[in-house]
Amino acid sequence: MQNLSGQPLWDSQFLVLVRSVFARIQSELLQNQQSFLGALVPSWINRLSGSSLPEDYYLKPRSAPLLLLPWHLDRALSATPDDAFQCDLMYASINKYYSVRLVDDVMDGHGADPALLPMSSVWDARFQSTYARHFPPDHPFWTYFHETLLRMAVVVTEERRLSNIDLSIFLDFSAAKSCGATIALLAVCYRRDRLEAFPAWLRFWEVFAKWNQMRDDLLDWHRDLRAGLPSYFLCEGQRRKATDESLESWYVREGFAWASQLLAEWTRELVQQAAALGSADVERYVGFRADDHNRQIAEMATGVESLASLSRLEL
Amino acid sequence: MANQPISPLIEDLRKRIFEDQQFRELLVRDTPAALKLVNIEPTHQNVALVRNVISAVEHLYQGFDEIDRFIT
Repeated sequence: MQNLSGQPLWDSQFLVLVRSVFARIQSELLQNQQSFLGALVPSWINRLSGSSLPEDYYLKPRSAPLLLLPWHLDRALSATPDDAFQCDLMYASINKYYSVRLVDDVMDGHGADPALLPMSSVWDARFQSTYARHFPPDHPFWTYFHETLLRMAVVVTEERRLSNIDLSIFLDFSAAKSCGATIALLAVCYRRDRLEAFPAWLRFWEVFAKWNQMRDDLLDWHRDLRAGLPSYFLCEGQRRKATDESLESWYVREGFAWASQLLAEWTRELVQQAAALGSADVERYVGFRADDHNRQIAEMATGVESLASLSRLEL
Repeated sequence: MANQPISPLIEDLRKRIFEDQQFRELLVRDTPAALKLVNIEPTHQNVALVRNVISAVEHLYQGFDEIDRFIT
């Protein structure tokens, strides 16, 4: 995978490690394949990845940050990569992702079989026990670990109770759902004894998370609308649209332009935050995402302008 | 864009374009028939305009279907 200048978004060693971690996860799945659950899990995982290779999901540029940022952070802090530690971080993050994603899909009615839910405790145990290999029980890492998991649980639950999401609520809840990913970043900082680096990477993650969530709001707005799922974008539409105007018409008239403008500001902020990290790898990745985002928005703008032109139909 | 009232017929057409895949397919396959379905006269200008719209908005649906959730 390359950016527009032909530079790779990650190095070959990263790919080697990701594939080795998935080989380990695959072998664990095979140990359980005779059971009913053992048949359900690979099917669900393959559906996520859209291929027979589960790692494909994490190697798409838009999904990569979960594994890629701890890797880039480690490279920014040390000239000598710690491959074994990185493998453990990847293994922990993937297991936690499966747990969170499964619960989320079941809660949202996104087609996950609730019979899979007992697997979440297995994935959570693998997530936590992996970190326990590196941090003793009284290590300060665990304070952040537990606080962050509690925050994730709180914001996910609170978000489902909200029906009128404004910017403040969006930042405090919707965009904060992915805060669990910062645990791996803190782990790298402790491992390298470079705790002072963590605040800048945390700020970067927060900007990235709000940008990514707003993209999700914009790209999935119609699916959310039909499913009755409130989002910042849809709530803003309800506040801004004319009394007798549908959300579809608001999207065409103003909504798409409003969200695109907000995302353009946040894209610039993301690029600035990336530059502050002192990591050429992250800057390259963010540059790729910004280009990709701008191209996607330009294509969508053409479609929105065309929909607006329907007002010229002869009636 | 000014907030001008939109005809209910155009509102209905936009909603159908967003919501109804079979209707979109009919618009591509037989634009006049699809327009008649939503009570819009299939004049040459209307058919040409709607055909342009359909080809331009295809990536909007790709956007809707995109799985873009690296973590929730």
